[in-house]
Amino acid sequence: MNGDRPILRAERLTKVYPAGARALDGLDLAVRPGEVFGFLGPNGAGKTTTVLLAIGALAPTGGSLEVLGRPAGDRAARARLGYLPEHFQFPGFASPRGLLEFHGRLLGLGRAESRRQAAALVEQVGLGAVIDRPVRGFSKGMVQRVGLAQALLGDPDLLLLDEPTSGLDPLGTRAVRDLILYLRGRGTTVFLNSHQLSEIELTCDRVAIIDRGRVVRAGAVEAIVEPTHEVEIRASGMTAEGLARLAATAGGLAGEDGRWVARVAGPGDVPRLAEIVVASGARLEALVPRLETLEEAFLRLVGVGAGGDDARADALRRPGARWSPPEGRA
Amino acid sequence: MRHSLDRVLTIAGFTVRETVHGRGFLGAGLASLAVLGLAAVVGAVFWVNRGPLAGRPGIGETLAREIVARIELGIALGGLSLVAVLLAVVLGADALAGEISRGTILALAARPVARAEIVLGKVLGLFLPAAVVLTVMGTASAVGTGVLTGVWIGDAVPALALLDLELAVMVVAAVAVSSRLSRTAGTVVLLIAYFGVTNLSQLFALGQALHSDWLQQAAIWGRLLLPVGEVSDLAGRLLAGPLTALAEGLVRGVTDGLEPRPWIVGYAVVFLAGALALGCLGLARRDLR
Repeated sequence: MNGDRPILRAERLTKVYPAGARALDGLDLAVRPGEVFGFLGPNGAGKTTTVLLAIGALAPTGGSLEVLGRPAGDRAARARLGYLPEHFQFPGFASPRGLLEFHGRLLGLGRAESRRQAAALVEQVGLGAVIDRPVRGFSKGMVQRVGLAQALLGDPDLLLLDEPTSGLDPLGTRAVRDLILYLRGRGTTVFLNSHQLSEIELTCDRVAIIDRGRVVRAGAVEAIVEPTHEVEIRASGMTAEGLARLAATAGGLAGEDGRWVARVAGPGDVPRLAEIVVASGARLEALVPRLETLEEAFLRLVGVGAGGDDARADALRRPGARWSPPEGRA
Repeated sequence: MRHSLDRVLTIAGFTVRETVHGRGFLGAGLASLAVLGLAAVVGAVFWVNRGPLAGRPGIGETLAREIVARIELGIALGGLSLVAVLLAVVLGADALAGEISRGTILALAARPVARAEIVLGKVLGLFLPAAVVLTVMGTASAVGTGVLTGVWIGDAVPALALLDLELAVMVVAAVAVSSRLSRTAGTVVLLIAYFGVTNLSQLFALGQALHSDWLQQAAIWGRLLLPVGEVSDLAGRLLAGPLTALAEGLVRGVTDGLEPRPWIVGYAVVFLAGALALGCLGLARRDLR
């Protein structure tokens, strides 16, 4: 595999379902080898459709999709990828060992190798004690871990994870995150389709945000989030007079005990805030323009007003408030 | 080629385990035991009352025993075959459609497996357990009848082979249908087709009564839409043996002209291969969502 060549590349990828729903509308995407790539989007944006096209379960209506240098769905490409479906299910009679050996055989592994990898992977996901127990009594989190283990069979070059933390408790979520970081360390490319923005933020090298079947923004997380109109000020020895001047200069000031957040009209106001702090005789420890969180960037990019969230939350807490979906999305 | 066979057998093996762990298979097993019990009761009634039959001119004790044995075996194998076919319809109609609607086929589709291998594996995995039950219970019935009556019906072996062929046709048809239709729609279509073609003799008789050549021809050629009726007729005639001649003039008169055609087994095999190809094509050309 050429190191510069994307491991997954979509060009003007389009998918229209027989009922007429346009799930993808000219999607362009490139995932580089060895990176953890986050794929974000609201429900119905086309995330799962993209993954299903990548494994060959769906046929594209237009455009092209290459996986591991071959057309999506090609058998040689499928031999080198691992896939965890969003809702992983399998017959209740099967044990983790039986299921993994079954998938190992389909992958072309010999009987002994399937058995060896099954045991090792089930152990790795923390289910070694129940490896031969039928899964009908497993919790959703345990089933999800079995699914992860089957996705890791054969040491895939590309791992497609569709909502891997769905249904997991915080411990399970943490375990998945650690696993993704471990895989990144080993050079495995991970395509992570998730609603869990904090997970994406913590694990992904790059992300793409899609909406209505198109990529609206792609790049490193730092390149996607934008500065807000807030500046965090950390200082010691601030006087009441100094705080009053800060409040008067900034659009608003909140905080206490040496840590405040000031609203500014633009970047040009930041040096003025520093001058006020220093002039008041206080010791300025930090002055940090605050960046959006990935969630705020996501909401902004998919058309929901980011700044309205706090006001919306306040309104919902009032007695007699009525809930309605956020504006900007169906 | 060898790897492809490995994958087909792997899917078949998993499907066998899935089948035998299912409630449908348990229900079919219990129904099969009930059929054997019913056949034994009917056989016992005939056995106890065979005296008058044996006393008829040209029959005698030996032929009377054989007749009782053939009646008992006919009920047993006919019932077992019906249970196996219904099991094939219910499980076959769910084989692909159910996996697609539940989304469980996706993990399978992500593996380097051809769609045709999935279809073949499903067909084998559904056919084998049903055929084993049919063959083992059918053989047990033939042996039991032989022990009780002292008559071994050798025709039971080719009859069982024909009933296995009928089962294979139904399994393949069900899996092929399930590659395109939902489980419910597929089950309804298959049941209508099965009971329709196995009862075309009614249409044929109506054609005779109305002197309608068109209705009679429709019944004759309609049986080829799903060759199970004619294949099971062939098995029934084998099992009936001398009973067929004895029944001449009672029921045979109205179905003269509707006898199984000599090439029907060959046609059933060709039909099976065609349905298999359609099933593979049906799954290959659809989205798995």
